[in-house]
Amino acid sequence: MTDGDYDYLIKLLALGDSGVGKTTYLYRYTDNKFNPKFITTVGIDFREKRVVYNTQGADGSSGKAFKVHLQLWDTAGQERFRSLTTAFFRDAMGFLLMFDLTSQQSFLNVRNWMSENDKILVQMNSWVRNVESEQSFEITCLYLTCFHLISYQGQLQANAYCENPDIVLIGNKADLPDQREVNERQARELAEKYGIPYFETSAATGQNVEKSVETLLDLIMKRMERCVEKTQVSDTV
Amino acid sequence: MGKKLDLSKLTDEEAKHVWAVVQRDFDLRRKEEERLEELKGKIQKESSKRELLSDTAHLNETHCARCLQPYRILVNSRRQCLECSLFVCKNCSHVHPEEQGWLCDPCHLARVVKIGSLEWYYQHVRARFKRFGSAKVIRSLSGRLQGGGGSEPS
Ligand SMILES: Nc1nc2c(ncn2[C@@H]2O[C@H](COP(=O)(O)OP(=O)(O)OP(=O)(O)O)[C@@H](O)[C@H]2O)c(=O)[nH]1
Ligand SMILES: [Mg+2]
Ligand SMILES: [Zn+2]
Ligand SMILES: [Zn+2]
Repeated sequence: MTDGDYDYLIKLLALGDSGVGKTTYLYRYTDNKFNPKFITTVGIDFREKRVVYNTQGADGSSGKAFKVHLQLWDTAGQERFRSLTTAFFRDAMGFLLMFDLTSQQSFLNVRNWMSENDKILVQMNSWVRNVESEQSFEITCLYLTCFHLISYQGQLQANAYCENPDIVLIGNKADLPDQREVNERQARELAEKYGIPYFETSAATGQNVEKSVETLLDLIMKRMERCVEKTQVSDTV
Repeated sequence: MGKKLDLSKLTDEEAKHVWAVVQRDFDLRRKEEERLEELKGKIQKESSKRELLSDTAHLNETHCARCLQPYRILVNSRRQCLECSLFVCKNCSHVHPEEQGWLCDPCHLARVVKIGSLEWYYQHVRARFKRFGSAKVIRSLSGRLQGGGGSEPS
């Protein structure tokens, strides 16, 4: 599966309650097939896929194509595996935070995966943007201190590689409109609060599955480019 | 955040499954390390070639710094690398992803390695946690599943 002929190895991780469709969604993404059977994930698993990523020039012109090897971590939603699965959060550069559009409860639990303190989070998000553009030392310190306090509340924030990892919010099972319990406006508002993209997907039809993964990949690749800009390429070799 | 992971509640079957998954992860990690080492080796080779070239700077006016072929107008014209300022031919250059301009092959490769080795990411992980998830799980399971093969890589 993994010959070394690629430019980047990128690791993503899907999380969310049991039954929302994480395994089925990833299976659709990697194999373009749908599995209607529910076989709950035991602890942890991962799938792999090779994709081509196109960078964009500053003027919007298409730049260079990179080969990316994706490692897609699939976590168990069941509570009893929680301490095991959160240990793997640090191994991912981006997160697919998933809920089931036909289950209000799975949507409410998204907040637990993020952080309880929405207000501070919104503030944080705008600071993070400032920090990245201006590199202001005071703001960085302030932001780190505050974040330290609230990060214990959020599973994701506490266990990921940094406090503001790239996340995409996903409402899955969009092919079941009759059973829908979460409306789109509600979900969009939450995503906006967190400052993350939102997609309604269906592992059954394939709707938005590729697009949502690609959006996350794009966020990560942009972050990677930014991090390289800050340091000279030549001082590494 | 150095809590010890307690996996004693997993059944034997579950523990075996988890063990197999983290072994697969180790394989992938090992291959990735090898790949990056190989790329770094390539860059090393290129840079010694460049040292040679810098003694004869005028050569670069007429010949590509990488393939050492003379430039040919229209067919294989000359362009300057934004990173190292040397001139290279069209075949030996890449579009710079952000700025308008070009990167020579070696500088492009260096950039790929720099981005691909994900120093920024691993720095964060190291700062926050002692070991990565798979290693943590192996540690907690290894007493229980003897002979599963493979040990924690450094
Ligand atoms: N109609 C429909 N069913 C879906 C969709 N996605 C998943 N399912 C079904 O929902 C059930 C649960 O899906 P899984 O992918 O196993 O759920 P999971 O999130 O991996 O669950 P855990 O492994 O327990 O955390 C399965 O029966 C799937 O076939 C979807 O988009 N549409
Ligand atoms: Mg699953
Ligand atoms: Zn050349
Ligand atoms: Zn160069």
